[in-house]
Amino acid sequence: MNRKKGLAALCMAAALGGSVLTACSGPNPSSDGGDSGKVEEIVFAMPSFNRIPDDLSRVANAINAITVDKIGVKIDYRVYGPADYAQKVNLALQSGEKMDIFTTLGQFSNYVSKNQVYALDDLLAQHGKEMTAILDKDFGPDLLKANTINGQIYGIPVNKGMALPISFVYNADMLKGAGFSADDIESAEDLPAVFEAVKNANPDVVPFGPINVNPSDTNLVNLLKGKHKVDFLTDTTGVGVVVGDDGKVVNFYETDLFKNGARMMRDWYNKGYLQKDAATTTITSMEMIASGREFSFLGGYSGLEIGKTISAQSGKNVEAKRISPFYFDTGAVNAVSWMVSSTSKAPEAAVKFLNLLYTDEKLINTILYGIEGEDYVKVDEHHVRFPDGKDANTVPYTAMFSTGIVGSESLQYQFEGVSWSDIELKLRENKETERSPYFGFIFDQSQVKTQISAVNNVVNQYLPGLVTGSLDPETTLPKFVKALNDAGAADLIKSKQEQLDQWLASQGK
Amino acid sequence: MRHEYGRPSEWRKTAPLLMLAAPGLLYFLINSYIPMFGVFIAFKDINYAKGIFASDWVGFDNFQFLFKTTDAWIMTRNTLLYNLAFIVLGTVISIFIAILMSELLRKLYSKLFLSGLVLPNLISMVVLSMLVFAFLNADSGFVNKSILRPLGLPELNWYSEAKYWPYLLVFIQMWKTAGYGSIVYFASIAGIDKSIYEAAKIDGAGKLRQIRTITLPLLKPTVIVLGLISIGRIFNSDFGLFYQVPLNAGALYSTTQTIDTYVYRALMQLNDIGMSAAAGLYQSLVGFMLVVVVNAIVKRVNSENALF
Amino acid sequence: MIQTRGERTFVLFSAIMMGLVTLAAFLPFVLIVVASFTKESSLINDGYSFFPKEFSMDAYLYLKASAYTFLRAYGVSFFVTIVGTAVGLLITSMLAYPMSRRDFKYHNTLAFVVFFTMLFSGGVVPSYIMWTQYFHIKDTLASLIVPNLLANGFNVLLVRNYFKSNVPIDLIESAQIDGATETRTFFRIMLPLSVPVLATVGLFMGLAYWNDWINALYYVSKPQYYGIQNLLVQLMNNIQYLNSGQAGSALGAGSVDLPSSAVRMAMAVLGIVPILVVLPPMQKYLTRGVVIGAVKG
Repeated sequence: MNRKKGLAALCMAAALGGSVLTACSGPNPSSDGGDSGKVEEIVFAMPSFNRIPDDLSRVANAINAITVDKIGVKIDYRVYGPADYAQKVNLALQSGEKMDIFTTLGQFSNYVSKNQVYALDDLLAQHGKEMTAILDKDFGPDLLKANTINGQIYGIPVNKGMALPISFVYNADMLKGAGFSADDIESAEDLPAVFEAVKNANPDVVPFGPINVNPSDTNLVNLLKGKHKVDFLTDTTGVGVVVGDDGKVVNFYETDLFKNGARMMRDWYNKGYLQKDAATTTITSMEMIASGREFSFLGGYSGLEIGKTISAQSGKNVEAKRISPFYFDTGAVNAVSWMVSSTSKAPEAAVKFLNLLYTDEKLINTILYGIEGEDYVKVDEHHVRFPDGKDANTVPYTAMFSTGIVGSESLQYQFEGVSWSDIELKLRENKETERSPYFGFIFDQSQVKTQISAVNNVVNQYLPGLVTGSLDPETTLPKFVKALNDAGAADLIKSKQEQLDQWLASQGK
Repeated sequence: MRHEYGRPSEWRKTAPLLMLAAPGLLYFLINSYIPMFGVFIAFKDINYAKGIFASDWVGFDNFQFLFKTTDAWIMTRNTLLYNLAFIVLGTVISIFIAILMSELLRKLYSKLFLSGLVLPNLISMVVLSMLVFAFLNADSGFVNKSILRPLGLPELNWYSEAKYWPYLLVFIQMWKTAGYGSIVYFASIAGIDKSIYEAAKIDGAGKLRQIRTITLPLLKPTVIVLGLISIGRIFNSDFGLFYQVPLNAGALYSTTQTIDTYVYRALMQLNDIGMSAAAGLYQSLVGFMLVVVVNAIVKRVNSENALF
Repeated sequence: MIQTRGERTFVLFSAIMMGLVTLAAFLPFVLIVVASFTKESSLINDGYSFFPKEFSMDAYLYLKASAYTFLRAYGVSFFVTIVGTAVGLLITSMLAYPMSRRDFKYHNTLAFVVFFTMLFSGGVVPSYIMWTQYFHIKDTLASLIVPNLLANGFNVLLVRNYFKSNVPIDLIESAQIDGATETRTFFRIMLPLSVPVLATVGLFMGLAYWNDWINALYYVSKPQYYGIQNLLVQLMNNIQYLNSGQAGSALGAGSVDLPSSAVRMAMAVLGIVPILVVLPPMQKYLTRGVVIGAVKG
């Protein structure tokens, strides 16, 4: 063991008690003009769901060729897998390591209340004009409200199809075999008859399943949200929501809406439309559909191409039918937001880069697909495919699964086979989807952290059982509500109501 | 001290021993003790603009979420009882396996036994939870489909009945760790001077008596050390066992909720390092106090066996 | 050696019991191996079975695309395991030795110092700051070896305990009367007499290194330093995401049906098999009993 080095390091580490941690914190008013000559370097952390190549330098160089030329900023390009991303970025932020641009890993408002992110207003006006322009064009002028707290903008939502109406996703062959057609399905009320017929025609097939497992989620809550205009007011517990526009914060699980929804699921469950173990199964609907064992699930998707995509993925003839509209509350829009760290030494450079990230077609597509000719080939103006003989696993670089995470969807290339008109539809729906009157309200949880943690625990305990129908709402709901109240739901609702009233007053409503 | 060699000076005796200990001590100092300053985070409301050190002190606010819940009693009870069961049963089964195994190995040679002991421990909790689900799920699980149904017995809904899980979890934990734990005892038995057994045999002692009068007493120090170590961690639990294996089923919380699963579920969205530090500190402190007490008792009975 | 009837009964009993224990250990693993070769749809429709209806290599074919990455990850894991275990074992036993000496003034103090580290930890963030900002180990092989795994209190106390109860103090005394230094006593007497416990602790450390993916998660951002467990964890997470259905809208058209359950089983197999290959030859060190009488002379 190298004792000398160890001792030296020890002495340095002793300094830890003093200045080190504070040295790497505090907002840094950018002192350098950053106009000419000097190239600033910033760290940009990107999540990728594809295989991450060993050597990123090729793509990093291509990115830098664009950014250094256009804005005089050099990018330290980091790509992390979905599981690593949160951990690595959080550690960097918490330890004060250099980390300039990252995306939302938890709830947006948490970053703001802990002062982890930089207020962007002034810099946006200076360096982000093109970006705000494209956000206006693709979504509407109100987009950044979703990231505004106390009049300051703290992040930029990814610019994509944000409306995710609930679709009924089903095996089309089975539907036909049961004597129904897509036209027979308009809403969730039409489904039991279909399930019954499918079940009779295919006794081994499970008519309906949860889209996500562990914890199981059937999308019942999202279905109710869209249909009945429920605003979750940015925290996902569901304990403080507003239904419609009456401005009254209530516990969603105490409403008749939720009760009826849970009853519907219970009814489905009792009739055998769901697996007995739907609340705890380890197999997702996607896998069940692919194996031919399941008929349908509910999913929230933008655009209308999802049936085609899932067909390709599952090898079954899958179609999707929308059965509920979408409703924009703040959380639906700021769920994926790009932010600049409050510890950034070069916030100006960071904003310049963000500006490019939303507006530069070449930059966006280099990040997503790599280098033309090596990692992808162009088919036409909007479409690309892998070079001959390559696929997502063997191509040197691709981050194609991150299309919903980064940049502007309207500037992204699409994979061969995806209809371009779908993109236009998504953008139109961005503008046409109804906004909640409380769109832009962001709940600051920091005053009720203890209650939120206890409430989260209770929701975790009861919700998967209720949304899959495996728990009887008649007996479980009262217990659930009581447990929520014991956990401090009232404090949470009160705090939220106060903040909401203040926000409404400040909006002049 | 029983043995003293001439003692030219105390230092000349301790210095060489300290030298040997130095690299290890230095490692613990760096790896464990320096970062321990971080416990102060448990008392802070972290604000990154101010920096970790300059953030506001909030006293015991970060600890509140551990107690202001109706689950506080349940999770504490579960954590304690499961750990007690694991300590007692684990020790008994591990020693049992170790003794049988060492007897057999003198008689026959199998290359597989070590693999057999280690294998269950190598299977990750995620994979294990899938296997358990394959056995227990209500519709097509092995137990319902291939055992209960053919026997004409009523099928059981394993994932919605909390009462089965104490047995299941103890069983799974024993399956996974008992073999692994027996390796320690196995090594201790291998290290026992064989001439002691020979002497006992000449005195006419049978196998069981040899085990009772020689093997078990010689294993006692190991049992005590391992026991004390486990007591120090009595407020901690294997997250994978209690979260992944029961598949996070809400209906099972009354018998599967432990302090660790509660902390995970509670802080999933908050991502608050102050509160998670508080939970860790609470678990450590309770364990520490218990160990100090138990160690003092052991010391009183037989100072040789005490941990420190 | 003469066997009494009692002994024979005992051996028979042991053999039956151990047969059962071994069976209980191996069967689930066999099930995992079989499942990894089962067709995905068969896994979902018929459940796990030792005799599946449809076999398939899909899971391994899916992983084959990353064959090179796998080989390198194995290399990293082997290197880290070997170096870490060797260094760790040395440090651990060197520290345990003075602690085992009742005539050493600080033996209890050291035991407390070591035990304390098992109870309290400062958490991830302070460790991370220290290792990355003062030791600069980020993106080095050292970052996989040094933090947390090199020595732990449990192993030190195990070795101390063995030294204490299995090596008689007179042996050490007589060596030192003959003029042996502490270092020499440690290497020439303690270590050779303690092979079983060294093998045990070496095994524990080796498995800890082999199974670790936390260090790489914290300290490594370059995939070339990923060990096998990190690779598996990452692949697993990607599959989970791709199968979640939420991914649908982000997916391109060229996506494939992922044999997800079977792949998980295949990955478990790939993580475990190398250990099963290494263990049997190691076994003899664990069982190498010592006849102290002979050493004593």
